[in-house]
Amino acid sequence: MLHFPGIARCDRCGEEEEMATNDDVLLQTAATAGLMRLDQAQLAQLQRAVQSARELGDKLPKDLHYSEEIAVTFRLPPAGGPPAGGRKP
Amino acid sequence: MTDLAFLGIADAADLIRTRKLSPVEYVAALLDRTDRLDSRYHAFIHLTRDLALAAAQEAEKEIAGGNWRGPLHGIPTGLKDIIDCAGVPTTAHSKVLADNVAAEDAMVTKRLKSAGAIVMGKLATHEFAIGGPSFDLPWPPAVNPWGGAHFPGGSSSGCGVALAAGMLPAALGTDTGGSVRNPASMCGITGMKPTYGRVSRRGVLPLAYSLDHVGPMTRTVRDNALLLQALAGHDPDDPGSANVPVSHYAADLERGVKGLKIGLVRHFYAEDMQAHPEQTQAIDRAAEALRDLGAEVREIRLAPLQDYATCTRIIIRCEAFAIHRRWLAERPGDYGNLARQRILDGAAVSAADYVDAQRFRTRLTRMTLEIFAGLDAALTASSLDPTCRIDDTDACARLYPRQARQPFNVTGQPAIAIPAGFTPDGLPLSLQLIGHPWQEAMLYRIARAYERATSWTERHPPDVCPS
Repeated sequence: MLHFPGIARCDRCGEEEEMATNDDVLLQTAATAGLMRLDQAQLAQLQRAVQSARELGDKLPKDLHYSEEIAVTFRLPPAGGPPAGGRKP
Repeated sequence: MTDLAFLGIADAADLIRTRKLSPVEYVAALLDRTDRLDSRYHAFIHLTRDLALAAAQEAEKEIAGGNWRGPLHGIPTGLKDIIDCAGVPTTAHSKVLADNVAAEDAMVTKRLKSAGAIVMGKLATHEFAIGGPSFDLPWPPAVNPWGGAHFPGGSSSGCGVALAAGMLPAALGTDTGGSVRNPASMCGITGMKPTYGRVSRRGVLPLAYSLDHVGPMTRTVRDNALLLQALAGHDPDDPGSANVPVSHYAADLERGVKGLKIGLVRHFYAEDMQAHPEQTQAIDRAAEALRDLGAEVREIRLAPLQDYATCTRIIIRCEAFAIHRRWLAERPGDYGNLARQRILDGAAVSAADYVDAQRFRTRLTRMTLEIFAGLDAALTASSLDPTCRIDDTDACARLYPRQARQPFNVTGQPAIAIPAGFTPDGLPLSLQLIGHPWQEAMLYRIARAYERATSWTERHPPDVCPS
């Protein structure tokens, strides 16, 4: 069997480049989330979180992009009442 | 002599009101018992011994002066350690908050104190109510007295353990994805997640704003109704709090279930997930018992359990990450491994998925409430399995998602977990009853009828008896 050491090295380079790219993406995800102090083990946890989030998102119904459900994210307090929430000064 | 360890609120209240039991004697007896037992069970993070004894003396003086405030006057209680009590540490069982001392009482603590209850201490939780059991925190995890070395469920783990071991007759837990009902199920006690907005969360460390509930934990149904009575009510300082009249929760307790319509959600534990056979049989037997008592029990179908789970998990992850991101950015190493993983999970969920999960929640809630129309309540599983050994990390991790509690955090309906028997090994089994929003009284009525027809709440863990 012929052996091409140069090509073998190039293959490894490809893997390393891919790994480097993955690490870059992970660091970018951490930075976007404001997490600049994660060590290697904690970055590995973030890696699992990325995978898990993708799987979880895939389980949401596919017809939610436009449907009648309106998310309740804000509600005005009753007229004349104090604003809800927050400690009083 | 009365067994103070397993005395319930209702019976203790009668004795205290008629001055046959001194609150000081009661609190001192439970403190003494806790001193003897808690090195094995780790229910408490912090005992408020001096404050409790001082409050008991005050209660005794008031009652002797003819000023009995009601059934909680002089009753020892405990708070899950994410609920503030002024001047006492709130640690969330975490190194992150090891030095945090609460400046004010949470609204629920205020309500307990004004009803005359005595705070005996702060109880173990899964770290920040999200990750557990963990062995890499400043305090050990609570251990279930049933079985001796078993997982007590969580995250209100110390509450379940303190009640099952007879250290307290009442405790307050919190429930975001089932954390009152899980330890209730694993520890053979009673835990209510009231309707969303029924009990104030002001002064309680949040896990996920839109799913968090505070709930009463007791050994019996009557005690639970008495405790909720003191907690329920509108709080304008909690934006999720609802201004809805509070029912008299104990009024209908003994009315029975004759003629009531109860839906059995069997597909949750027989199709969507396969429950342990002993758990399945326990719920099927409970359905039969309710039929024998005169209820009409018929099978109903809600959305698949997995749909509610997806919705809950996305919302919890995102809201928990939003709450923790500053601490996680500055002190990631101060979190235990499990809580850090669960909170980091939220860093990777897209904003669009969070919004869609909230919209999916609206859809699931509408569908669920439509199916509840024409029913008085529903019956299903709480946990799908009996508990396992606490040192079996893999088994604990497998148990965690095998539950049918999250659907009712999604819909905000009230849901109560009560004992439903024991395995041949003596581990607790449980069931869950779910009601219409604001109809906690109906759940207490059904739960009490079942409790009266069985003897499960009269059993206590053999290792902690006699007291």
